Amino acid sequence: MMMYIVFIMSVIFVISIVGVSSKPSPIYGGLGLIVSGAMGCGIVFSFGGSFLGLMVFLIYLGGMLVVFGYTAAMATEQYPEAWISNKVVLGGFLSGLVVEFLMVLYVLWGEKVSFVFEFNGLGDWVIYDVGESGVFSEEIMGIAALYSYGTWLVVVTGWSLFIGVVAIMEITRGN
Amino acid sequence: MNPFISIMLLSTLILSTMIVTISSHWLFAWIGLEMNMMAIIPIMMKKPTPRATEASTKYFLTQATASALLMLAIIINLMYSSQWTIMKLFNPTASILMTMALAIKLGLAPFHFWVPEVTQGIPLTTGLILLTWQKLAPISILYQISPSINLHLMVTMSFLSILIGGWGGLNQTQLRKIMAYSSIAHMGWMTTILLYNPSLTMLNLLIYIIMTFTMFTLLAQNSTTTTLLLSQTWNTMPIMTTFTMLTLLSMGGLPPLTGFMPKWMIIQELTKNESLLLPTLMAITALLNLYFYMRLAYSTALTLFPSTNNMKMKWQFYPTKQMTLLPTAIVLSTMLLPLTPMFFILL
Repeated sequence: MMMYIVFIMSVIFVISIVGVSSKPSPIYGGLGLIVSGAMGCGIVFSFGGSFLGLMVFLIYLGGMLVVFGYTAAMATEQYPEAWISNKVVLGGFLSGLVVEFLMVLYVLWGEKVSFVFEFNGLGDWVIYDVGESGVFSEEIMGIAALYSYGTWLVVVTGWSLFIGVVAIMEITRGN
Repeated sequence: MNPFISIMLLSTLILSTMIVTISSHWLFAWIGLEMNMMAIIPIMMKKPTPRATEASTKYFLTQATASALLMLAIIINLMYSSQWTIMKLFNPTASILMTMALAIKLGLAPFHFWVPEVTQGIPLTTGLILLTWQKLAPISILYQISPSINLHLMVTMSFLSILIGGWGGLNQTQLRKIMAYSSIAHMGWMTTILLYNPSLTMLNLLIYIIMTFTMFTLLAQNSTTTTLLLSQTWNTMPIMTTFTMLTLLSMGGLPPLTGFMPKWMIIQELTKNESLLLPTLMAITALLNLYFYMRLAYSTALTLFPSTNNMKMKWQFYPTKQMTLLPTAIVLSTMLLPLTPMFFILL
């Protein structure tokens, strides 16, 4: 079972994202985002990216989602819409579940599970994630390179996040 | 809007298009497109009416979907070529997905439905930015991946765009919607020639931007947004009627005006590549475009629309709006045809 942990995590990932996108109230959507964020981190861990996974846990789940949860709790209504309270939401959730279930069956019975966790060197696919240095972890070296060679990327990313906030404030200003 | 915020958003708009055009890494190009979308949404909502909110929402949804498809195509390209350089794509799936994503961003048929609705809901000058500046970034990416674009897909989408741009504009009286359908048709002309000679795409884009800028600036002088208001310009600014007519005829592609140049070059290039049916059909469907431009020119400059008597005696004020670059733009959009050999520099 442990061999298929990446596959199981990816299935839970998809199920919780289906739970978010079937449009319940934001409180329940936030729950779906937490579970999907955690599963995504788990997948990143399993491929060797320990630092980046922990970063996502800390900043995304522990910072941004917490703030989102508090603001959604402040703006919530008296009877928030859950997954089972409305036929539309339930129908969306169930159709997503059905499609995911069919895909799981296809992957398991078609003997294609190895695709999920053996991307490296599969057939003639070129290796795209961790290289084969063996001396240092490319992931952490990459993060260090972001702040030395990739200064322009940091500037652009920081500016676009700032503009995102400015845009949201301008749109919701209202007068 | 607070002028500080306005400067920041406009400079981000310019910066984002520059990032897309000069970057050599796919991730950077994607970041530039996202910044572009985020920076223009508050500009579109300068007056926070429900109409502007609806237009901004539609714009955001379509562009975000296109960005997601673009990212998928980039990742598939990465999977098959293990590198992030912006050059031709190495997989037909990635190429088709990216072509469709950029078609959604540009407003090519069959993804054109957002263009008239978004253009109608925003002010005239914002519509100008939407229809001219926002086309630069996707076309620069299309130019760079042009060796790997599927010919059948591209020609189908562009011919459908010319057809829908011509046909859709026939029943419109709102000028912004007419300009939107004109944009769809011009995008169709531009992307037809992309696979044969991409320099002509750039030429067409340049001439299209000059003509659309002229048209929007002329419309913004009197804040005319309907044909009815346009038909009253003879009373307030008589010289604008002549310029409006000339610019409209230039947009329709009539010689000896500038708008003929890209159409002529495109048809010549297509016939050199031994495709004869396509340019014939394109030239015929461009007549639909010419028809509604002619109708506007007719009601503006050639006849006096029926109106009540007090509409015929308006006070002629000095113009208070900035006519930024209007004379230059008018000259450029009507008299550039003899300088066609000059565009050799685009090669």
